Amino acid sequence: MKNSTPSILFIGNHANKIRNDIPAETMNDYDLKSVEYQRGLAFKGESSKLILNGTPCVFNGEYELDNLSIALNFSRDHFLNDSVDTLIIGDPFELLFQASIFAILNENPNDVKVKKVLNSVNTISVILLYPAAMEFENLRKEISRVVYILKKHNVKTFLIENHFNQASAIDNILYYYESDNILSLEHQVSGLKQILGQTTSAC
Amino acid sequence: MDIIVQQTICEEFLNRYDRLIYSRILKFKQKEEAKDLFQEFCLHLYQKIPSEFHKNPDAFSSSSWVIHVVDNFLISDFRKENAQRNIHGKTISQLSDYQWETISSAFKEEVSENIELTQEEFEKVLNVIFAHISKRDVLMLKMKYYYDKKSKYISEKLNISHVNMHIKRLKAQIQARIPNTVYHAIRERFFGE
Repeated sequence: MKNSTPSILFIGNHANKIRNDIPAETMNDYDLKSVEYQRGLAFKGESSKLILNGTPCVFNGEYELDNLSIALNFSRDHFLNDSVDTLIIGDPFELLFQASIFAILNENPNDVKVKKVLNSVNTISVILLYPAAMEFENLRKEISRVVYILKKHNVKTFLIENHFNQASAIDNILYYYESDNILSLEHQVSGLKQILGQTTSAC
Repeated sequence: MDIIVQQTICEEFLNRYDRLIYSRILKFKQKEEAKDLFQEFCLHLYQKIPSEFHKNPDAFSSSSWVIHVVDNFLISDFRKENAQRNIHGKTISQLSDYQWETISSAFKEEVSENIELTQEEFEKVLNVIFAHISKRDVLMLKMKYYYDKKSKYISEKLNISHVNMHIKRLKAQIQARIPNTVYHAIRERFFGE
């Protein structure tokens, strides 16, 4: 049933916390990768760190979309292999996740409407966790930019609905995941909705 | 609220605003104190998230809201501090016994009715008493017994009616809370009775 070894990339706090709740057997057949942000202690003047696959890298910038996406774009090769099918899991509410999407798709967060220059990465699919702070109206604007970019690059994107247990939904996704037939996931996993990737791209 | 969601929101909020929060605290506090207060604030924030979540939908995207929350936190911290110092008009009877132990422990061996306080002991006792009554009461006592001002004058300056009655009650409260012999020594030296 299960296809062989694509990568699963967990981005941000929410995804990596949920990862701990997923049974290890489910993830055995995958190449697991992660991107995390470790805040520096403000009162010690310590710099923050980006943790790529468990390796901490000093990040001197502010926790802002621009800085993060530039830093992640530089270190893109550490967490993403363009030739391998990769399932990206994260919460769009987190700036780190937003920045990672911009970095992976080589987009400029300040100018999302510009026509894409590079070819889209067609080996990635995205699973959006239900945003932790969906109620906050202004954050929806941030999220909409990410969704726009995903649409622009025609990335297959799924959303796990709110009332479903996110960990068990991911467990099911990983169980049924086949990179060749990813669109059927929506029918196999309850609570999973495909929101992008079926129609033509935005640009 | 799901605990993972609560943790995620708290972490994200601190990732975005930690430096702003810390610099705000530093405006009012010394560095060492600010460090402790920052950690207390993180805890406060974590506990506050479930209640704020539905109440204030736009909260997390504006730094003005952050400043507002930090300021409120700092104000309540100041209040706590002031309550401990008792400078906001608490009466002596509301003070904890612990605060008066300083006086009592200094005179544990007292046996006689009339003890003689050295100048140093006398000042120590007065300092402890003054530290635990409101500033206004301290001023009133000093004006009355140190500067020999008339009650009418005190009443006008401090805007207190019935100064004598106020002082009488204050003295009764002090007497009730410190050893009798110490009170007698104070009464003689300070109140001149």
